[in-house]
Amino acid sequence: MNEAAPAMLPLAISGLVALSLALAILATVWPRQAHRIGGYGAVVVTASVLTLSALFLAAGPEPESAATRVALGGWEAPLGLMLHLDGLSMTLLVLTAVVGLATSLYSLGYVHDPIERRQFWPLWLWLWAGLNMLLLSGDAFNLYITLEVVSLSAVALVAFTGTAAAVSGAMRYLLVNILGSLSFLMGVVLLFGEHGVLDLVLLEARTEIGPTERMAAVLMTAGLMVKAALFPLHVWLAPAHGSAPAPVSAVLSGLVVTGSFYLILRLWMGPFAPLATPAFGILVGLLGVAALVWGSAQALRAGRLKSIVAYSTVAQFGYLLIAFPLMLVDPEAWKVVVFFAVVHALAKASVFLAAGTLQHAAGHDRVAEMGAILRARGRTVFALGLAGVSLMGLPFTGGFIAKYLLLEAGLGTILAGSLIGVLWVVAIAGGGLLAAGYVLRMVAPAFHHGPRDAGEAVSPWMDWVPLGLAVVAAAAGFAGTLTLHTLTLTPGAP
Amino acid sequence: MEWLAQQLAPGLIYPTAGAILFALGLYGLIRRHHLVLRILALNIMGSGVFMVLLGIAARGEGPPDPVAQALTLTGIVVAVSATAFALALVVRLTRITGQAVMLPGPPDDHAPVDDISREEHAPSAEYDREHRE
Repeated sequence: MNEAAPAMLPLAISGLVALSLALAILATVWPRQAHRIGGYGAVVVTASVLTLSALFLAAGPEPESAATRVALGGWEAPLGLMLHLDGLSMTLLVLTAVVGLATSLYSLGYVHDPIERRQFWPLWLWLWAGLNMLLLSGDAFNLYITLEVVSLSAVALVAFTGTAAAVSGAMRYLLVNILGSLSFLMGVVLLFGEHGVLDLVLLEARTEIGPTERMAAVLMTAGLMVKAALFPLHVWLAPAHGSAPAPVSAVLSGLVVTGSFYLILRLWMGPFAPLATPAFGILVGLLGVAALVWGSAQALRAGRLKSIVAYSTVAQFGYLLIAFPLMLVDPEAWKVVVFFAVVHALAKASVFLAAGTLQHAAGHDRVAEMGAILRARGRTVFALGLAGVSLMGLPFTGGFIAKYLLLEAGLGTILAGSLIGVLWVVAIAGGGLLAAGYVLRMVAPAFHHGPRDAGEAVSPWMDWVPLGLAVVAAAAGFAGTLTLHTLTLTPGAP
Repeated sequence: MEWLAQQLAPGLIYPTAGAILFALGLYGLIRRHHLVLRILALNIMGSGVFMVLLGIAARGEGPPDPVAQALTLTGIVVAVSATAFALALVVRLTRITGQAVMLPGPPDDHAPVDDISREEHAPSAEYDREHRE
């Protein structure tokens, strides 16, 4: 196994990309069977991602040589497109597979109209294929293409219900996404003009600090921040995520936003690493604190279940921004940030799925009128609460480990003599308290006395999948060591 | 005269003009409210990016870099598909609301919810009604 693994790895990587693209194309040309293709395909893709990760862990002994690069069609880097797999992309591929599988199973119960099924599955499979390609691509222009595949299919899914609110939310999402992509592309063009290569590894070797690099860094980071809904470029998120169908919201808040964040992280750990200065880190950190406060305040005010969850995404992504100044003091902290993003994605996806089940049962998602439904649907409320506890960061959940490690990094900043570290620590701890506020708003009515009403019947998929994913999110704490070990297999990272 | 010729060299004038187009498009995207104008503004931004790319490729002596031209062609394909999709959304939004502008802000907390998982949900009811009239 150990000898065979390195040889198998390139084949497995290109096989995964080919498989996810083939499923999307197959579902598009054969829409009548799209739900079967999607249902079985989700299991096959998840199985192959897990196989890939086993191969990866068996093959990558030294962190410095762990990245596997595949030249498609035998064309090497300056001209050809390279696929690139390392610890960071492997971790997020597994995350995408887990959330993707849960969402697919949930959608088997959620999307039941035969016509809507034909429209939903191809779009969702394209989105999934786009995410897999995004995580495996090592070429700046190819990243732009995958970003576009992801955002166009995501926008189509947001508009899926076809109501005025959904189409308007999708329109705003589309304009913002194209703006972000064009800004990213302008940065890519500037880097290409300066260095004549598009491959990220080659770019990293050639980058020095200069005005072109600064301009490209600003354009690409701003473009991706718009797409990742990082404060203050987040206004599009709540209308889009709030009005999409539940499985779509789960994927958008869990995976699509994380994908853009992955790219920011990859760029700043690679080609743009020399450009980071302490002042820049503090500015980003302050934006993070603002996101945490603003997002939580909106989540505490919102009247609808899905709006609360959507605003909490804005708040939770504040943590990822706060992590930037911590990373400048302690470069090792980036692994904690990725682990936090993974745990957040799992928890957020299961909260959205649980909210979708409750909305289906009640026929609306106005929190004030959901008491009877919440009291009658213990299983779903338990899933909501369990994932919520992980978001808050209570002990024994994945969220606790992630926040504990973040706090540790923050205290390290203070010990390193930086006064502003106090602000980061207060924000990280206070953010958990605010999260407790809005999570309790969602589940508290279940504990009041009053009438019970189970509402409309719910398919078993919609009943059990949110619970399963919530358990995975809570148990992710036990995978912490494995995740951090996988992440150390990222060459070039500290 | 020689100075002017130097400034008009394709390697300089095209990237500069491209950057100006990019900025103009961004201004239009922010200031205009009609969605067709906003989509046009995004297309102007896109043309700016491609112009910078082609201009950079034409710098220096010798024939222009073919890689840049291939990238531009790919980029144009992506831009055309995105524009077509955006226009389809505008048509749909105009049929429902009667105006080609976005609804202000997030959806109202008391607006009815259309849940596609429920039986009584009628796919595209509004759309069909519009068409019958």
